Amino acid sequence: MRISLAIRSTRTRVAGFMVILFLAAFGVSGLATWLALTAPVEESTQARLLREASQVTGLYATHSRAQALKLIATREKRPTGYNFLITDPAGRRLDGDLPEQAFPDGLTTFKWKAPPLATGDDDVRMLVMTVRMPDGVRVSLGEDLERSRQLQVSFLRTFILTSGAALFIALAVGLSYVTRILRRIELIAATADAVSAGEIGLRAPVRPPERRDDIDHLAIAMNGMLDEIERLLVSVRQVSDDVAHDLRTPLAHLRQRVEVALAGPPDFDAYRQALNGAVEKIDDVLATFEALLRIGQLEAGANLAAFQPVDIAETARSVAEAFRPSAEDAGHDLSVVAARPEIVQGERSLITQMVANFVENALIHTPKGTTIELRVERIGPVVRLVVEDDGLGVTPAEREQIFRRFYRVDRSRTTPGSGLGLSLAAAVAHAHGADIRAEDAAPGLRIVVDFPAPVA
Amino acid sequence: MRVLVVEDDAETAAYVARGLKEQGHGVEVAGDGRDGLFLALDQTFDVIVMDRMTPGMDGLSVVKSLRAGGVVTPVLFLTALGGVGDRVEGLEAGADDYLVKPFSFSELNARINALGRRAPMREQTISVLKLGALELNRLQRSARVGDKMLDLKPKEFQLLEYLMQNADRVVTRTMLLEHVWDFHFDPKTTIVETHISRIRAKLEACGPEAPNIHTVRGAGYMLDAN
Repeated sequence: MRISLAIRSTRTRVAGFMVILFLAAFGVSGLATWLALTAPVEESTQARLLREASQVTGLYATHSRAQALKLIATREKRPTGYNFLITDPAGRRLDGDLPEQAFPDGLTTFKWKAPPLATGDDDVRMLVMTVRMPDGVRVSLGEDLERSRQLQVSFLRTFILTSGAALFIALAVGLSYVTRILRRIELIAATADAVSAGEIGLRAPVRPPERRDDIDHLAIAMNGMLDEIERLLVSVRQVSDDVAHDLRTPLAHLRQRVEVALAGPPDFDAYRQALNGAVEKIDDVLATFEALLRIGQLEAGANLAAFQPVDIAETARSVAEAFRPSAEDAGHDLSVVAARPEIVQGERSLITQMVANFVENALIHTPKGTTIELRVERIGPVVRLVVEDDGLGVTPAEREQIFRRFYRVDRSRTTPGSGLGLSLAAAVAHAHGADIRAEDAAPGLRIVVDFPAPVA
Repeated sequence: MRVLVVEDDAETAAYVARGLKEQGHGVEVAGDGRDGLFLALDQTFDVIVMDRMTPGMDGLSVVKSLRAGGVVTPVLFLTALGGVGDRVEGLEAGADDYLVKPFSFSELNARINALGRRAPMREQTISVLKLGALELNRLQRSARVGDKMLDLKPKEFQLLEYLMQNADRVVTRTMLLEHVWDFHFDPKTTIVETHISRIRAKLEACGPEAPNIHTVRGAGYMLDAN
């Protein structure tokens, strides 16, 4: 993916910040090391040589000559030792790595040509301290005058090399990490932009659960929000589609009817009849419109009064009571089985309408002699409302569809009804957090609504 | 009756005012909530018809202010908002009835008449309602015509009770659905018609001196003393 300007600028800032932090940290630790390193070097070569000389003199005084010579040689051959030369009173070398030469007593400087371990062919400037023992043996101790400076130089070189390498590695690793995170954020932002631009179905990428971090949680939260927005959008779009589709037809009929009346000869009674018919049609359209609005509001969760305890058993009984005379007249048997009150949290008039819609649906779409039964029962964590008939039932495919707006099973096309009753009922159920489904009552249709039971 | 109509939509206001005048009511019209509140506090009305969303001051606030000011005149809300929450909110604010736009004039008229009659609050406390030979005992939940007892189901009793409270007035199907069944929707099934025809049959069985339930075409039902 192309790196955007936003990432580039953030990355530059992070890099700058890291470099400054690094330089500060290395600066402090380097300075501390430098100070620790230079402290002994400050002590002059001369002073060290003098101290060493007195040590050697002390050794010579407290041991036999042979022993003393051996001790001195051992001491100076250690890594921390000095270059040295021991000569007998005649000036012949007894031991040591300095060239055989008569150094004057005390301090002197000396240019050592081609020293054994020298790099290149530079001469090395030495400071030499010579002490003469009482028996005429002379011990010369020498130190390279530039050794401490070289130490510092090599320290500095190593220090800069290692810190530079560390800085480089840290920058490389850190920046690639930062870039990865920024890219993921960028992806989320790009998703949001694309959704704003109309690709409502797009979602930000989320890694598998075991690898999730904060950014995935951000993406998940945003995706959840987008899902909800999409659901609302789709429901709004659905409503406008429905309105366009199902209100246009009756309005077209209405228009035709009025047109026909106007086209005919002027006749008061005909006009009156046409106007009455028009008012009826308009009322139908308004009822459909009202139902659609209500479904829309319910689906959006808007305009709900505060929920109150509603006894579903009581609601089922009163709805059955209201419809029983009509049911009896139509030759249906309508009964209620509800042993005891079953309370759910809800809006009473909506639940009443839902139950009424189920009953009406059964009354309208079943043949004479059908039994319709309402049951209300508590089953574990749910309060279940069942509306069951032993009528013709619907096919499994239709069962999936009957809660959709304007859906009408084929044989009902000619019976009255807007095709909104069950979808309104479904919207009411969903607004109450209830689960609604249609089942085969073999024969007949069973509608089951499971309300969450109140927490005891 | 004197009716105050608070409605900012001039066409609706004129339609309502003309209809009410034809019915013989005195009508005052206010075009915004503030004027409406002023008129309602200043003069005496039998019923106030109040649009829910009026400029200046919305209907809910006007009704709350009226009730706070001790004005108990019945208020009927007219509204384009048909949500369940809206109706409850309106009634809680102190309105007495609620009608969703668009409405038919006969519906509005019937409701205004019912509200105007309810104003004295007498019927609520009377235990025996009488209309001609029909007598309704609200404590015993029993009804009779002369010395013949009527055998009524509970809903039939409630329906007849409501018709008697509004005797000689038109009661619409929607009003019956709301008051008798507490149904705030319009069922496809002929619930009201079926119940009415059953009560009618029971009344007729008691002889010619029983009151009649008339069907008023395009409006509703009316119980009269015969």
